[in-house]
Amino acid sequence: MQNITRSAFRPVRIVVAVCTVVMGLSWGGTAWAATPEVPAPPETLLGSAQDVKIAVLAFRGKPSAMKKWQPMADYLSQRIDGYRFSIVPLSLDEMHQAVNSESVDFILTNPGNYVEHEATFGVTRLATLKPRTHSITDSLGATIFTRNEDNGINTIADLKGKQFMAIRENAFGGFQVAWREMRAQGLDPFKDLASLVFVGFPQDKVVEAVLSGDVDAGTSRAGVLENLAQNGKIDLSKVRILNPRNEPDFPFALSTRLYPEWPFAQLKHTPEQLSQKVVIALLSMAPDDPAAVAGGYAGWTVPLDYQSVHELFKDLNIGPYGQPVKIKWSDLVEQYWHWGLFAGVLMAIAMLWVVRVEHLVAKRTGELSRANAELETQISERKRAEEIASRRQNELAHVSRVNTMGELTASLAHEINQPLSAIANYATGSVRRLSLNAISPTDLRDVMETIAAEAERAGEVIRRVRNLVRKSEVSLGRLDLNAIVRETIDISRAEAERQHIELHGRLDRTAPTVIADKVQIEQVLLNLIGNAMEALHDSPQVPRTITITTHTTDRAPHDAPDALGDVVCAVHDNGVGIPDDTGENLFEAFYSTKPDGMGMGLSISRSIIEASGGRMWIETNTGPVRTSIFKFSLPRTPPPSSSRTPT
Amino acid sequence: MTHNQAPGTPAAADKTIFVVDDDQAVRESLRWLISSVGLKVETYASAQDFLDDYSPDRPGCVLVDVRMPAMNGLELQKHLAEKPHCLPVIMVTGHGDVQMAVRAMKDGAFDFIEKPYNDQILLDLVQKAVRECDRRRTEVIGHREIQDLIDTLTPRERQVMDMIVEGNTNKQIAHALTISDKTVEAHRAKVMEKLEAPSLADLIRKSLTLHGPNPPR
Repeated sequence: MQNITRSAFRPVRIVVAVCTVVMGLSWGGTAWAATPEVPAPPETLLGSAQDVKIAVLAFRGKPSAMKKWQPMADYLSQRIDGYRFSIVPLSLDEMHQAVNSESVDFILTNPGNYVEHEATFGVTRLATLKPRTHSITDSLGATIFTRNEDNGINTIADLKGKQFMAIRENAFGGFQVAWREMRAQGLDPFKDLASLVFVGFPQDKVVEAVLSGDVDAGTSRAGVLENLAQNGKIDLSKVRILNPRNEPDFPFALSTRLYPEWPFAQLKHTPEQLSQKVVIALLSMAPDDPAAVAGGYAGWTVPLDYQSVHELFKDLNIGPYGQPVKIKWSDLVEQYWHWGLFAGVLMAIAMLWVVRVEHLVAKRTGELSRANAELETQISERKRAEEIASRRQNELAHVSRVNTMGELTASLAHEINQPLSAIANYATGSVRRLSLNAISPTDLRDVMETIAAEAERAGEVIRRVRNLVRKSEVSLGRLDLNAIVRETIDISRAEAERQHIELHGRLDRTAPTVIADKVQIEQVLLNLIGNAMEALHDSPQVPRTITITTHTTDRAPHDAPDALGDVVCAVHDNGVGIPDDTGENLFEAFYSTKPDGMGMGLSISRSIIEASGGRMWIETNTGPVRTSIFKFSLPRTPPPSSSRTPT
Repeated sequence: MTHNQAPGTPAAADKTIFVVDDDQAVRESLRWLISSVGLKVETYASAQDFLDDYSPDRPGCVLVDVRMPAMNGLELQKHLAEKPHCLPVIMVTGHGDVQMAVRAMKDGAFDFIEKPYNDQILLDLVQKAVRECDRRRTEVIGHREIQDLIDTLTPRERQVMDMIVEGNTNKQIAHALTISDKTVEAHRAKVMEKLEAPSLADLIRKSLTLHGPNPPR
């Protein structure tokens, strides 16, 4: 296949090859395979004529088409130097294929087919066939006819429920033109007819079938009937024309509108120069030219307006305006492969992009959730740190109070130890001398006096410390013991939780106020709670609990007629109780059951309580589990009312 | 209470107990108590007073209260450690002042005693410290005497002595110093004579007293 399309096609093939590699897909491969494989371009054959192919719609068979159109090709070859024109007779499908693959340079086809190619492939008409029989420009129409007998078919509408015949569904003059008129009359040939038979070329068959009564009616291109009659094959009086139309100067019976005749068209790739030469040659073809005579036409005229054909297609929703032509998948692929390729590549890119976006989203989501988890961890760590900090603070508060007491007791111990040591030294030294008779009564008296003075000094120290403590008792006042207990529980809560100890308060809401120093009572309570916690430290009890209760006692009336009841506070724990033999020793200074105990806590606590006019003691609960309860009482505030008012 | 410590016990006769306490009643009462067993007592109101007055020649022991204004017992102990002395220090601490006691012991205190103390325990401790003082003095004097003897050796004799103490035979020494066996024997006899050592064992003891098990070569 050597023709001028080769050079124009090459770049496309390269693209195709590249894309084939890129896509790795085989769809549309058949279309490419159909492209010419001869590599030698025509330009290299210097001196010899270039081949030009004219595709012709061979509706009556290929030999017939060759016979009809070959003279035109010869005519063109003769008139145009350097080119050899040849006719390629094709069916409608082949025509489509040839145009799509650009394997021909010109086409000659019916108006309907042309319009489709014009819309689909951008073919351009160069000239329109001039009919021999008449001179009007639009000269293509159809006849719808029935047998001329009383069969009740007088209009197109009467065809409803009748048998109808045409040559082919996609024949322009042979069916589509008539179809438009039927539709205009409200008849859908595919629904309303009893049967619709496409019998195929030649059109004579339709005429024969109608006249023989095989079908009720049919359609053929205008002029067919007259032609047959002229040849003596039929009698026109036996035929009745439906929807007859009268067009001036139109020599044939007509049922439809008229459309332009067949066009001669160039393809997109056809060189403009060649097209010009072809147009000039065609337009100058004389009616008596052998080519015109052989083709049964009068020559060629300027290209007509094919708008009416477009309108027909629009009306029928076919051709470029619908899907009446059964388009094969392979044709579509063939026709739109580059778009498909583009779409495929686009989709691939889109998919890659989507995958990337998904990946990024997943990654970012992961990062976010990681960040979130981290944040949560940080928050919980921070919370824990804050908890620890507040616990530390409370511990510190506790420790500093205890330390203050500890410092005080340590210096108190030193202060008292000095005179006590001196007394002991003087006393024991004197005893040693006496046993050795190594001391005079005068010396002994002096030493005794010194001892007495030192004893006095010790007493002075104690007085001084008491004064010191008294000075710090700035706020002896009315106190709500319950409030102090609650406050102390709050202070100790964190430490209790750390040691997994439950801290409860069971308070007597009706308890009256007491007179004491708030800080001192807090110190006493903290000391008792601290002791209880230590008692629970190694306790197997679950849960470990410390309960602080308050209640009011009534003193016996005979004790003192105007005596007031005490408010008693008790600290219970469910740890192991204190052994009996320890008992009261606990309240002695420097007595401690703890390895690192100062032995001052309870001693000072008791001092504080007693200084406030109360008492402090231990009770032992001898139930199934032996537990110890530390209690202290404080005298209630005298009622403000004057109960002693003389009556 | 036992009274087995008679005043004027020979071991204690020339010893002085240095009492350092900021509390006058305490230090005077300690003088009363300690002097009851025949020990000489000197009292000081501050650590600085004691240091100013102190002479290394006077044997005895120091009884010092750990808690004092200005310089406390621990600081006094440190000052004493810097001087050539042999006085054992007994630290008197308050009740439960365990940290102070531990630090005192680490710093080289002879012992510590907690207030309030039993008089017998205090006096026993003081006697023990005085004996320790004796022991230390003897040691120092012994060292000095041996050193004086060793200083009379000629360099060659010193060399020979060191090698004897290391356990070398006469032959080995002769070989090492490239001298004759007879010469080594002569040096050896001279070393024994100068160090007043009747036996080899005595020679080694005297040498080790000064230099420990590894005499310098």
